[in-house]
Amino acid sequence: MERHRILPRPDWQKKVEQVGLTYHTVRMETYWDESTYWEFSAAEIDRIEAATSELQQMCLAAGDSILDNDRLGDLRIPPPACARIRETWNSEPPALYGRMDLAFDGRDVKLLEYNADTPTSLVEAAVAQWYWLEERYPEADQYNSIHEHLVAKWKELSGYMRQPVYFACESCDEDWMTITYLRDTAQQAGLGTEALVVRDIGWDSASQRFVDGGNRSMETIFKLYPWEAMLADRFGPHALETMGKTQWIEPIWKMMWSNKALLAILWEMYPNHELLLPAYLDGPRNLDEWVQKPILGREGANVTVKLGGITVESTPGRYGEGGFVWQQYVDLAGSGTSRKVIGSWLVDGEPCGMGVREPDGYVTNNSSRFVPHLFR
Amino acid sequence: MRKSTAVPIALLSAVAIAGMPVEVARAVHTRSSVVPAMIERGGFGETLENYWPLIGVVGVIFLMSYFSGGE
Repeated sequence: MERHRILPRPDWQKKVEQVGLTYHTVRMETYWDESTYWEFSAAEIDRIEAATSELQQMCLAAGDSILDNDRLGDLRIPPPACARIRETWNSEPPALYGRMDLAFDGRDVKLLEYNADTPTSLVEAAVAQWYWLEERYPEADQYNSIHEHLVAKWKELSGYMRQPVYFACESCDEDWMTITYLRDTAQQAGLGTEALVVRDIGWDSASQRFVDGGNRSMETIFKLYPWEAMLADRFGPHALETMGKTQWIEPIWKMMWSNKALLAILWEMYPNHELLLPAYLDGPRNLDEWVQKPILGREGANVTVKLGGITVESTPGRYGEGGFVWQQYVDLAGSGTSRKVIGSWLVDGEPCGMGVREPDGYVTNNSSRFVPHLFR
Repeated sequence: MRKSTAVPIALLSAVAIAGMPVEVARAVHTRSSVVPAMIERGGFGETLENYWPLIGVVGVIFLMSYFSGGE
């Protein structure tokens, strides 16, 4: 595994914009950074892929364990949602994708967290870095069949979903491009699609249905909007009441995996497992170096990193009220000098590609640089 | 592991070139101008929408204290 410095393509902004990455610069800082790339060996890619697959199996077992042992309370999930989580876990309505964030030093893989409900950085991982590879290093390979997996999964789901499939997100550039890309993959699978912002979803109290801007019934909705926010919203109870009438993708059971309490539950189930870091729900216990994360946190908010009794980073945010998990700190730079996080993508539970993010500090957030990769 | 073909992204490219406001505007524009009384809107998006201004304020305070030459 080696980090290379190169000259970016002279018109790189235009090139990545044309393939959907319109948010390549965040707050005047470069987010898509092609002045660098990571080169992996085929064996290292195999290692990441195998670890992701094994972790997925462990998460499936953790889901069973959470429900069998009535631990949804540990995840601070609102009681009205619990029955729906159980039902959907058993009935397996359509679920699409997820992204595990991994620490990888060339040998050891450690799970940092699982973004199973609303993962982003998809356009850059599935599309932008692929086009970059084709232009810059066509003789090399890339761990990336995300696009093909998405199209195949939509095809498989098409027999189980009512159309059109609505894609909804907040009114923000990155989210809008992410759902546009996902719409693209669904359309290539033959599905009819529509898109709207979540605020434009209507509730028809007469028919007890969600409706679109034209007051048409919405029966299948992909939402790039977290379940915990949905449930806190005014329409949250309606989503729970009408779950049979409306299919939500991702399904509500993903609340179990996107919750960082999962990290502590996995550690309880698989103590000292080579792919896990020690993690606890009741404090750092015997850890000397740890990262405190809100169990319902997003994008690096409210994270504290403590090394040798000293707080080296603490990020602001509003996620402190839902409880925390304390996870052992791992040096994301490994034996090198640049910190990196592997975003390992799964579609339909199968590993199918990755993206590399480089945080400047200890905490990865939504402006941490995305760097393309290849392998030989 | 390698893809066999380039990623076809007609819709994504079209929206990227046109820009986000076009699609959003279209979604808003196609909303029925006469909304029946039994249909409410705006019931999703409240939680995170209320959150971003807070992040902004906290972030500004954080940055101001960070760059104000504190100890």
